[in-house]
Parts: sequence; structure tokens; C-alpha cells
Amino acid sequence: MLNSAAARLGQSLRETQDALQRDNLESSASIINCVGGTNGDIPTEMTISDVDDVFTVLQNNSGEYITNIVEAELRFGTSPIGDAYGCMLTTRMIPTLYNMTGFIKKFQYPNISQTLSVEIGGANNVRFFASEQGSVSPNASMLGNDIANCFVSAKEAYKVVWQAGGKARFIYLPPGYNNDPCMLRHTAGCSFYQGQCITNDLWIQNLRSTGI
Amino acid sequence: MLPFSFIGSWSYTNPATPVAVNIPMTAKPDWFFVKDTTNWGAQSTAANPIYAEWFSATMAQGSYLALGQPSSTGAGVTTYASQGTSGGFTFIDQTNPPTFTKVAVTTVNGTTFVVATANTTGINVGDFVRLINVVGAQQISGSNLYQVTAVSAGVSITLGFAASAASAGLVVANGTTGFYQKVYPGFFLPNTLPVAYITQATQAVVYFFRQNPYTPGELVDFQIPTPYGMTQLSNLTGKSGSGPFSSNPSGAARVLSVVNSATVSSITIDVDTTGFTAFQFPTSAAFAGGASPAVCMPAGSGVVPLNGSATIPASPPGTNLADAFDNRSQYVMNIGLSAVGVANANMQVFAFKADFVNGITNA
Repeated sequence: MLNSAAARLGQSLRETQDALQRDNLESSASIINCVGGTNGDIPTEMTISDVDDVFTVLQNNSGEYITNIVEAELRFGTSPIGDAYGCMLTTRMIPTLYNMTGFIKKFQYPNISQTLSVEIGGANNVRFFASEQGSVSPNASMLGNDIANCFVSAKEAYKVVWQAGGKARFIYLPPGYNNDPCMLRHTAGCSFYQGQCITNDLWIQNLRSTGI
Repeated sequence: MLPFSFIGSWSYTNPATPVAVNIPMTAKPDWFFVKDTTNWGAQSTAANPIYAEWFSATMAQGSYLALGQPSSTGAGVTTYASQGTSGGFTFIDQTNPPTFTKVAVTTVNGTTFVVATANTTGINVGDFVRLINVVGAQQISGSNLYQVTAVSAGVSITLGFAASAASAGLVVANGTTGFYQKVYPGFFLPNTLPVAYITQATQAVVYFFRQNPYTPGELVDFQIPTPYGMTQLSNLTGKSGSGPFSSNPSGAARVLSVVNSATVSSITIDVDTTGFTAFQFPTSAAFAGGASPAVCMPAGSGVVPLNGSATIPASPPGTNLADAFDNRSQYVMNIGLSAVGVANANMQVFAFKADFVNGITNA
């Protein structure tokens, strides 16, 4: 029972850390609207021209790649992936990406040994990592549709600051604590301290897209 | 299962015209009540409500139970006990805030930023709204948040910070039909803000659509897309002489002074923009054709200036600590106008967390 609770608490803790970092980037990153789409909204749905635009912005800003090229191999149905920046986005963007010209799904990579499970694919020089906790601004487009905040990051664009002694702590209290005079209840909890900051505002861009 | 606990007690005094009150919480309460300690038992005049409460188990967000108090003559209050489904208690997790339905507007004045609408329910001074699909003024539609500075019930809301920017030089055509939507903003500060207007001056003044989080000495950078004109202020953090903005000054701008009054939100920066292209919002059609917002973003800490001076540091000299990234999201209980109490009353608030909350079906 305690092991099960600890596992769930661990998941909760890590997801909380992700949510904090997501909220930090959502509030503080520079903004580029997708404009290459055809849905009539601002921002539009993401297209390959928008991906290339944000790639160019990061290149102009001397942003360093996060991943190296995935070279072509003699395998049917695969395509190489260039040196890439990382894009963190909501899973609601998956259909838009799958419909995007030039998007290469992860299973079409020549080699998937250097990928993460949350990676869904790449397009030219950006690789996409999806989470159901990805950032969405409800009703925030020009026409009132939901916007996906897709954070395209170069290396070392932001960081997480750990306070000494503030890393994840599992706290178990046996019965008898917290107004429990009859010793009926165990409690388990976790705590941590975490600070976020953007180290260089030029190296991370919020590429906003509708179509989700 | 959480043990029963008394979360806390708070007090506030209503102004002559009561407004909604936000009470910070450490947990979602299961029982929350507010009591009028000024008028309790004083029956010289009627008061409604003098007591209001909310239970998590059976009451929806925004609802309330309330008690009124008649005057000694019995005049005034006709309903001793009442309840409602709006204007009561709304618990808000600012990390995952509730969303609100959009409301139709009939006109948006591009100079005074008075937004005409027949429905102002739930909108108070200080609230944040976004404008959606405003015909003729799409450049102010979308994700940008505007702060409400005045409400004329059932007639209009005023976005005074935008109006102040218009007085400084922001030019936006009048809009016609569209929508507004109340929004709870994020509380990670300092945050990126859309820019309303930038003056051409030896020390440029940057105007915003709502109160800004910046502090004197803070470093800020800008991303000004081409349709907005003043691209020379973009990417200051970058190295001068490189990239597409090779003639731009190098080094982030330093905030010399900040204005956050009731209707003006601006910062003065140590960048001379007199020779820069004038800042202007794109037209409605140009924005709808494809544009990104012009934004100001936090870019680091600098030396705190002395009274806004660009050259003299504060004495004793120091760097700015108030600009550190800070997550100020918290739990809040919003007490609406149906529960907040009467004019000039001292109100006492109590919140409790229950040991367990059960509905008995076969007692």
C-alpha cells in the first residue's frame, strides 16, 4: 500500500515539476505566431514554413542545437532528420503535425536509438516532444480558438535551480499525527523546492499554433 | 484523507461601493463563511447579507447561502434567508484557473477603449479580459489581456491602460462586433507582455495594456515584428553586428522607472529611440493577414538606478532582486458581490477543511 502511494506521489511530483517549468515558459518566453496555415485564424495552424521561421530565428540568435543529425540509412520508408532544436508541445497538436507537409514521424526515422518515448517526430530542424500537460491557452486566438504554446528551445535556453536540501522528499507519518488521537491514519506526502528561469530570451521561442 | 483543520481567518473592510474580494487559501476549503461584524445585531438599518457561506459538498462554484438582517422597523430587507448560483463563492486554483464564456460586444472605441456590451455580469475593476474577433480591429483581438479600469453595469467596460497608450500614440481603428472574455492570468512573474506603444525619445517609454511586473534596474528585451515598425529595438540581448538586426544596439534595455497607476502602465528604458522607426500597430487587415505580437520580455537583472537616472546608480548601489522569476500562483476564494457584504462593513472570514465529506443515501 505504501509502495503504491509512493509511486503515485512520485508521478505527481514529477508532473508538478513539469507543470512549473511549463508555466514559466508560457509566461516568459518570446512569442511567434504561426502564419503559414490556411485556417483563417491568427495564429494559424502550424506549417513547415512556420517551423523553418522559428528555426531561422534561433539560428540568427546563435542558438545551439540540442540533438545531432539522424543520418539516412538504406531502409525503406525512412527519412533523415537534421540537427535539431527541441519543441515541447501539447499532445493536442499531434493531428496538426501529422498533417503537416514535411513532418517525419518518429517511426520513420532511420534510427530511433537516440529518441525519447515522448518524441513524436521531426520536421527539418525541429524535433517535437508531446505531453498531455503541454501548454494550451484557451480561446486565445484572434477568432477565439484554443492556442497551443509550442516551446522551441535551443541548448541551455532555460534552467531549473535546485535549492540545497530542497530536492524531492518523501514524508511518511505513522498513525497518531495530525489530529489523530486514536492512531487510525497514516499519511504520506512529498515536497520539493524548485526555481525556474530563462537564461537567454533569444534561445527559446513560443511558437503559437491553432488547429488543435 | 486529510484531517479536519481550521484553514484560517481573514478580515476585510468593504468600501462605500463593495467590490469582489479575493482571499488567499492554502487548501480548498470544505466550509467557508463570511460574517459582518459591524452590522451584526445593529438594526438601525437593513443589511443584506450580514452572513454568507458555502459548502464544497453540495454547492456549485459561484453559489451561496446568505442571511439578511431587517431594520428595527422591518423595512428594507424582505428576504431574511436567501441563496443563489452566481455572485457567491468561487474557488480558484490560479495554476489551473476556470475559464469563462465569451460575451458579445457591439463596439470597441479605438481611442477611449470603451467596450460596449449589454452584459457586464461578473466583471469588476482590475479584472482581465481578452477581445475576440473584433471586426475592424483584429489587431487587438486574440491572446492579449486587457485590464478593466471601469465598469458601467450593463453598458460597457473600459480598458483604461489601452486608452492611456492611445493618448501616447497607439493608433487603433474603432471596432464593431466581437466578443470579450474574462480570463485569469498566469502568476509567473516577471512575464512577457505585449507592447501597446513605444515613444521615440532619448529614454523611450514603453506602454502596456495592463499593469506591468517590471521593476527599476531590471533588464528587458523586445521582439518587434516588422509590421510594428520599431524593429531596431528587437533582440537587444543578441550580439550587435550579427544576425538580421546587425545595426541594433547590443545589450538588454535597463528599466529606469516604472509607472503602474490606475490607468497607466509603462516603463522608461535607457535606450535612445529617437532615430528608430516609429512604433505603430498593424491595421486590422494586416494583422489578420498574418502577424505576431510585439512583446517585451524579462532579460535579467541590472544595476538599480537612482530615481530613474540612466547614469547614476542607487545609493548604496545594488542589483535588483525584485525581478527574480517567481511563481505567485496560489489558491484563492473569490467572494462575489452577493456574498461580500454591505458598504463600509468590517467582514470576518473563516475557512475549514473537513475530515470527510459524505452524502448519506439510506439513513
